[in-house]
Amino acid sequence: MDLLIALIAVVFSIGLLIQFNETMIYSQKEKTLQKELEGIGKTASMLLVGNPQIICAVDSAIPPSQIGYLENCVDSSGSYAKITAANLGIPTGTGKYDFAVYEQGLKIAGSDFPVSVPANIYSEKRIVVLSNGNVQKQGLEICMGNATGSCTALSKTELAIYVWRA
Amino acid sequence: MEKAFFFSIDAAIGIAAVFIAMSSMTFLYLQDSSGPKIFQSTDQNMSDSAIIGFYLDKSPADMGLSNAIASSAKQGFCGRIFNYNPNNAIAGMQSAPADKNYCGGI
Repeated sequence: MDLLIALIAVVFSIGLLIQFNETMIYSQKEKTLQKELEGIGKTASMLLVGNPQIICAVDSAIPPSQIGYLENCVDSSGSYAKITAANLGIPTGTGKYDFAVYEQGLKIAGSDFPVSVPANIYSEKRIVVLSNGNVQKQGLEICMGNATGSCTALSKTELAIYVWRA
Repeated sequence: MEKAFFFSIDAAIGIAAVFIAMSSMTFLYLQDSSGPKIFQSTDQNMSDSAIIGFYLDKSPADMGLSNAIASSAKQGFCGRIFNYNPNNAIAGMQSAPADKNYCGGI
């Protein structure tokens, strides 16, 4: 009888060890995936407000017309057509990543949230200004308070970017 | 033969109880929630607010910032946007430093 109980105890112990080991492996894998998602999400967030393909170009009346770009200024022309996975540096496709960008609760770019599969979603809110097309230097100077007039070139808003594993 | 303490039925029940408790805790720890879990980073809020305040000529208080933080961010940002300005470039040479109009004299 004692031998039987001892055997059962040993089997339980081995089972516990295996389970603990599996838990550790699973936890490590989850952490790696989480870190990867965070990396992709942070990069996408930075590119959303810093990629010249997405942000506003500044034009001057004096040639050459384009004199630079404005960080944290998103070009809303073409229904935010410039906000794409490629411009956000997000690898897309099966087993890769997907994204969505919302402005004040309305989706302006990307895909719908996944509902069928539980997933971790990385999110960042960015405070930006919007401009419909390139910003004119004179309009920018008015907004910055360096010229008289009312600021119509830029409007402040909040963008929320969400990135998840597809 | 006299039974030792460990190899008793009570001990076996005790081990089984511990095993069940640990299994339950592991299961609860590892189980997936029913929907997506969103984790949000707010690292960029302060620098975003400083830059937007700069663009729109808002005071630090309007953007929820202290004067020191807003001034520091403004100076840093002015340095970045004025590093390159083709309007001030001299033919065949690197762009000259731009004027300070955008930066309110900083």
